Amino acid sequence: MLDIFQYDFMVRALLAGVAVAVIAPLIGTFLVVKRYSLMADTLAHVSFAGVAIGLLLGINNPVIAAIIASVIAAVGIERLRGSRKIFGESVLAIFLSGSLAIAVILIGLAQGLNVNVLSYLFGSITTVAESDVLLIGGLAVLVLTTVAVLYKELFFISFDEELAKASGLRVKTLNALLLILAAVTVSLAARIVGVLLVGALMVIPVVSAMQFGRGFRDTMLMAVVLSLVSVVTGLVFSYYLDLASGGTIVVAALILFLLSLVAGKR
Amino acid sequence: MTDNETIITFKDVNFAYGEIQILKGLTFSIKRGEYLGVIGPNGGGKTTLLKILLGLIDPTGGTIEIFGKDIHRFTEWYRIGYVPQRAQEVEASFPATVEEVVRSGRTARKGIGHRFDHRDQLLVEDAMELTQVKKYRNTRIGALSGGERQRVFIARALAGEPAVLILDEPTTGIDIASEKAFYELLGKLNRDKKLTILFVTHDIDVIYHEAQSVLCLNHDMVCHGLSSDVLKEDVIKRLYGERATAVPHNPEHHHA
Repeated sequence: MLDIFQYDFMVRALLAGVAVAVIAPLIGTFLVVKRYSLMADTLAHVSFAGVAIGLLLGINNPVIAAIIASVIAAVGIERLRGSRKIFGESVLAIFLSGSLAIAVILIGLAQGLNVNVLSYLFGSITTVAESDVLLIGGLAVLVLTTVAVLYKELFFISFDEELAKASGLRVKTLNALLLILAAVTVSLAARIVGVLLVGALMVIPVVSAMQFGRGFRDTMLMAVVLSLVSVVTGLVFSYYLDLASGGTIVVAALILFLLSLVAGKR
Repeated sequence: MTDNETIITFKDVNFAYGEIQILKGLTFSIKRGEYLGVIGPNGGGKTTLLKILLGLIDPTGGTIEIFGKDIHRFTEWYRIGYVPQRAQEVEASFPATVEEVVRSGRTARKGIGHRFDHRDQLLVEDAMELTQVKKYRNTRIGALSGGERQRVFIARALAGEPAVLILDEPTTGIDIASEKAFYELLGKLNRDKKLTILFVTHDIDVIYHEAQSVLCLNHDMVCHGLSSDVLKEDVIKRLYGERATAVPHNPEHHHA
């Protein structure tokens, strides 16, 4: 059973997977309750455009390019939504399809869809390098610390944005910061579960945890536990059954969601 | 600080959305401990007045002072507690307990980077006790009735130790028994805690019975003074049109 740990790539995948499993639902909880669920998907597509730019420019670790692109997009999305000239979900649609279009063109320019690009689309544990583990671990600690420090403010703007504003909180700055954290998280998680599935890891464990009728903090902690279980079992099953890791993780999360629907009804 | 100290002053305040004038030359003041009801027809500028007072929108003209400071230089917004009109709009599945919602009322008081401590918890407990929502502390806010939620929102405002409490149509969608209990609570807060209260309503009946003073608003200020003195037939006609009349009230039958 423990032969999974004999391979360095599996150890790296598990380490990076655990880091991502903790921060994805943490940020996901705020996105879900603010009705920003599609934001994760949008930022994931933008991060893919970032990866394409990174590959084209020959940047060593395309995750860095993905983070830069999605952070810039996060700020742009928040500004456009704030201007009220375009409906919120239309802004997301524009960024989602627009960035995918850019990515497709850039990948074409960078001589075809090579294996590395596919690994970003669907996630690949075999390509997680030591530098990825360090980057993912380091940034995950940064995301975790920021949420811990700003927890009460982020809860306040999520529950009642108008009151938070009336109380003197810098709501615009906090919203922008939350989206920046989401952009970083999405770019890191995409390395493990892939651009196309990252939204699921940020949303499904949270929705599952919400079925238990608990408070905000408990829901968040429960979402982290469900996400950890999904990622670890997903990685283990993908190793032993030779399945695609991203898909297996998300299917594990879906099974837990179905179980939580049943358990939550009791 | 004295009981008669003026804490909010509006001088010739205007507000317009483009060409449409919503508030015209509004001049009035609110003293510490006052219990003021704002009344007027829909679209008469009541909500705009509240939003200006809460710093959510800027007036297009005039000056406002809050606690002796010009509104643009005022930073202690946590001294103004606000109970929004959204008790009905809380998402049933929003994962927040009553205690978490009440505690969030202390967020602005604490400031970024400061964790809630023992004193915060004591204030949260007091606020829940006073509004009788303690028994729901672990219940999700979405599972409560409209009246209960509104009490939770008052508890949230009280937890922030406000000097002024502002309420926007606080009993919209709440049954009559809860409404009566709700105004009893406001009256108690005003008398016992000397809390300054300003609430907006479209219900003249409530103003007659609950508020000590009234401000009538229909774009400009139609009246301002003790509710028993100023709510006369001519004022009501200016507020609601010629066909409106004041119906005599029997306090005994109020909310019956």
